[in-house]
Amino acid sequence: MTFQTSVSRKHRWHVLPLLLNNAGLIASFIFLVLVASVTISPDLLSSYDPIAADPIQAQLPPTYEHWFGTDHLGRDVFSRVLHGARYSLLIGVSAMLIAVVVGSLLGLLSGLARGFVDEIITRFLDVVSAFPDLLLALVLISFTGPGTFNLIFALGVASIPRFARVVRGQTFVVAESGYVEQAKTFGLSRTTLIWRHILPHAIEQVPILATIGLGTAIISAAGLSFLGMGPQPPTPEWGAMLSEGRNYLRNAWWIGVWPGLAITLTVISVSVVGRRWQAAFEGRRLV
Amino acid sequence: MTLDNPAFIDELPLGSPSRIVRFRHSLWSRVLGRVGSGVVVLWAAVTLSFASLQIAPGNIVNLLVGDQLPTPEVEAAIRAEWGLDEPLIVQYLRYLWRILHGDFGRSYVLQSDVTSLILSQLWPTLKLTSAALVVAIVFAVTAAVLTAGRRWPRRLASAAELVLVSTPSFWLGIVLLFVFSFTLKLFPVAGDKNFSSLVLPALSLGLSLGAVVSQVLRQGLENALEEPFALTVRSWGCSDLTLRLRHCLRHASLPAVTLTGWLVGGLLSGAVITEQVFGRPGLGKVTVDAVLGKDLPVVLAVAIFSALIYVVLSTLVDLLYLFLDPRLRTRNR
Amino acid sequence: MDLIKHSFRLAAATFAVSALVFSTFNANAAADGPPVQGGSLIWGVETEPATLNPHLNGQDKTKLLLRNVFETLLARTKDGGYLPWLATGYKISDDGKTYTFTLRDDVTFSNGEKLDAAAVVTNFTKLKDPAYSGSASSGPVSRLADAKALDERTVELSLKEVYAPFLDFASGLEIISPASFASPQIKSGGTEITGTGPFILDRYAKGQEIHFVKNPKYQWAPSTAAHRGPAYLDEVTYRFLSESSVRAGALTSGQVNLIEGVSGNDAGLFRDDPEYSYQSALNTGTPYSLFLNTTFGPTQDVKVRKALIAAIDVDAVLKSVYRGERTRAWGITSPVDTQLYDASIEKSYGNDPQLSNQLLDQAGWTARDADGYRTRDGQRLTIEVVQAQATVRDQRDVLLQALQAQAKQKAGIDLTISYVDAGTYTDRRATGKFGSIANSNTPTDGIDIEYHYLPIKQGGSINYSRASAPELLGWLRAAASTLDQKKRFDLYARLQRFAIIDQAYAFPLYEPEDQIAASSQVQGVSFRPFKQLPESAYDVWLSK
Repeated sequence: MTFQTSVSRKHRWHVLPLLLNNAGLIASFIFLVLVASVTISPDLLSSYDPIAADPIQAQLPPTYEHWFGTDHLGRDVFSRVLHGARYSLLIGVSAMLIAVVVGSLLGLLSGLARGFVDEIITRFLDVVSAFPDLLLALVLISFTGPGTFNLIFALGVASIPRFARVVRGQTFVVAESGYVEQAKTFGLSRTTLIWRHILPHAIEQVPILATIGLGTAIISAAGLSFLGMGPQPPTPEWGAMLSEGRNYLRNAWWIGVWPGLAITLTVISVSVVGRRWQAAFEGRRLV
Repeated sequence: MTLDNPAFIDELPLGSPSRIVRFRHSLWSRVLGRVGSGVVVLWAAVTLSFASLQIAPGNIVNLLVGDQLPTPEVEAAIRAEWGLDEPLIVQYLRYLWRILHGDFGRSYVLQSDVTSLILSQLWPTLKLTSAALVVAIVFAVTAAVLTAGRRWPRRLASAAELVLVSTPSFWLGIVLLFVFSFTLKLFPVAGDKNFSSLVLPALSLGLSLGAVVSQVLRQGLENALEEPFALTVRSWGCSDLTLRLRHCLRHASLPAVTLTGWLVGGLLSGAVITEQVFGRPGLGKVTVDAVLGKDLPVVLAVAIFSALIYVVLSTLVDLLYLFLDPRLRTRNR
Repeated sequence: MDLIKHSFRLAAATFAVSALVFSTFNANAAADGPPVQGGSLIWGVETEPATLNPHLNGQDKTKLLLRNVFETLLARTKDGGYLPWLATGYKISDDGKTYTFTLRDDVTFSNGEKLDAAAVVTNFTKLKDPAYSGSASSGPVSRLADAKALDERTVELSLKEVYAPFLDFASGLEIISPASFASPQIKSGGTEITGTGPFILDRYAKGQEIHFVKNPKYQWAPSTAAHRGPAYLDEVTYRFLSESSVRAGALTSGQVNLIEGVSGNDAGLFRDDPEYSYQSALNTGTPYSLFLNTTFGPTQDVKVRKALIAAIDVDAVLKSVYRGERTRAWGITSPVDTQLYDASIEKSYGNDPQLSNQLLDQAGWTARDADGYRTRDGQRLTIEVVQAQATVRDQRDVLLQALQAQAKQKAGIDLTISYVDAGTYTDRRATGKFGSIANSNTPTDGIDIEYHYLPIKQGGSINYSRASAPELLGWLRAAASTLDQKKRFDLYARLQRFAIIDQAYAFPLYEPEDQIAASSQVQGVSFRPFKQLPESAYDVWLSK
């Protein structure tokens, strides 16, 4: 169980040597760097406008001119996949940020306050987690309407309990460890104690969980896009593209296959990096 | 019920160590407390759902009038028919009273009784999710037992699992459809007719979940294989497979049990999409239609129903832990 | 039967423009010998009925299966005329306010009740009651003052005032057996809700399929049908497959015998393969059009509305989205409704980017922002199309995206598309806060036009342009209160020019249609004359 090892921080620095030691990890890392740079500047690799339609050029197979072919509206699929990285990552990262911030605060509050406040927060988390993720996101979106921002909000809210629970558990552990007792005897103020000593330990696993959660958020976003709850057209988001491409699999496989591949590769890379990070953190044996 | 990677297993609410700290009572008051808090969660879920549906956009009378002309007589008739002329608090209390009696009202869109609607859709969903569960477990056990601790098989299996976990399930479903139904004509495309129509949906829902379970199981197996008892068993002259199946699997499955809640959430979430792709009847399809059509009685019923499943399951698992693991009990006292 | 065929040919010749059923189908029907009795058919359909009660069901896409059970007083000819069905004849009084129907005396409902005048009266009076029919009670039935049975076989319907489309409505109302109204299933429909049709509802598995069995006592097919007596098929199953690629796959892999709703992409697959037949028929009613809101946002300015219409090359868009499988629309109603549709509007406007840009310059939208959209006083020229997510079908999401791209490229107009849930959609409709709503409908005989162009408070329940020019009300009132077809045609022709060319209230895009693809074994599939929706399974048979 993770909380037993969490107090030893030195394992963190094993990440770098590991990088040099593992081909899959390196490949994933390079791919993520690539995706990240495409996110910052998609025009580096493609000269086509991702939303400029040209009816005459519709459904062209991959050629030298259009590396990934063109879609049902004559838009360059390669360019759309590149630009899509921005939206897909934006959705995943922002949703995780919401979950991390709100979840950590709730967890910390719950873990420190104990008693009645803890009970209320725990029950609230129970209620939120009583609905399956996708269902919760679906219902939330039905209130707010589909759209990129609402999708982020819905996915973020659905992930709050995960982070809140981890942080709450860790707060308990740290607060009850002799280490904090000692700090108290040194006469540290409560604020200093919380911000300087409890918080850093309580949230040290959060970045790892968020990295892994990022992959899940991208997958969930694709699922919601499929149900028609995703970003509004003509946004070249991967899930939306994949979902549009499903009706053309017979005549023009390239419309759906490339964004599908982009999603799968990105999520794989994110999971590989996140999990190795976690393994290193826990000092687990690596194969 | 969060759909996620195994990293969260330790942090799942079901039997999570953090809860242990709060254990202070005897076993029986603990049981009662757990059941009681389950009821509270359920009530909160109902209330929250009811309240949020009230603030959701869309005037219900306008919605029910639809494309037609909203004359005062029509509006009055609709209000009277659906009990919308009562004050909100009366509507709420009346609703609570009715669901205590198992009456979830009538669907705005389908005009039919919600309780019987949910019950009629329960069986197809149950069939799909249990078939998917079987797929997930068979896949996980096979992949874990055959590859744990073996360098190359392990890598291959891990890679396959990663791909399965990282592929959106609707995409997997559509690809399966194209290959096995449209091209090879091995399985029917849609509906809920017989066993063969269950194969592809169960695969597309079960494989990605199974991939997660198999990762956890393999980790557990590998830990178990390194325990001293494994060496002892080997020295008896047991075959490697027997060792894995009869001795180590039991050890390895304990952490996998913590996945129960996650698995149920994953199955329910996944069913929403799988039913849509394969044109299967079921709760997921009903939910999506109800959410899009603002069919409030149905949305509420589904919300309550899924909360009920969660509460019952998590209570059971918590209690199971209490009975199974003597350490928890002694620590509680 | 000869007579029927004859009248069909005559109709086709007279109304050359209306020969809009494209068929590769009937040619080989005769070659396969006499129809085969028996067999069971599986039909893949796109839309699942919300309710099986035909009075309360507003989904045109589900009429094809409800029509197996429920029949109407009169049948229609291809050119919109009326033929006997459950009624042997009808009479309209000289003042145009009293309609008298004489019923057949040999018709029974499948629950054993006899079809008599009282049964028909019950249907009309029930429909008028909002407690039963909800909002449907404010539709055409609200014009009815009184319905009474003069004798066992004669029904008299009297109106408050002359209403020309009333016959279209009254003759097309599905007749439900009187005992059904006492059933608890009445609103949702079900096996207890019975009709007079050639099939009987046997089983409905929600989310999956609906199963009908033959009505062996059926003897009252209208003369438009291809045969007499009971249906050929013993049973027919409609399976709900909402994904178009799944429907196509189900047909090609032999899991269903025929499908309706074929995407432009898949049409070629079936048309060019002798193993399959493919046919399509244009719908009636108002074409799928963008209605431009005259009371909100930039579209309040007629110049902006005209500029949007001028900017877009609809033909090129339709060709790319539907692979040329859909028909361009130009007017306020379907070309099928030849009694009311003035074809002179065709090719008289549109695809003129130069004009579009001129108009926008005149309207003051002269500056451009960083994304290339036109602006005025720092505000972007944005027209928001609001679309209910649940009602997207026939690749209209793709069509809207193609328009969006063209509007930007040709004229710098930002046509945003918002997909919303039913609740938000209802709110936006009610408050009028939207740039445009895209819509089509299928009523005939001018009822479609009334819904779209009467002022909102006076019956224009889907008047999404929110136009209230006094001319509209004048023309529509005049057209509804005369039974002189020539006069009605002229009035609607004037309204059409005014609404599309002068005021640009609506931007007609394409004429919705129904498509049927079937394996070559399936014979006798057709579309309903005039109403153009897929016909019931009555004439369908399976060759050996």
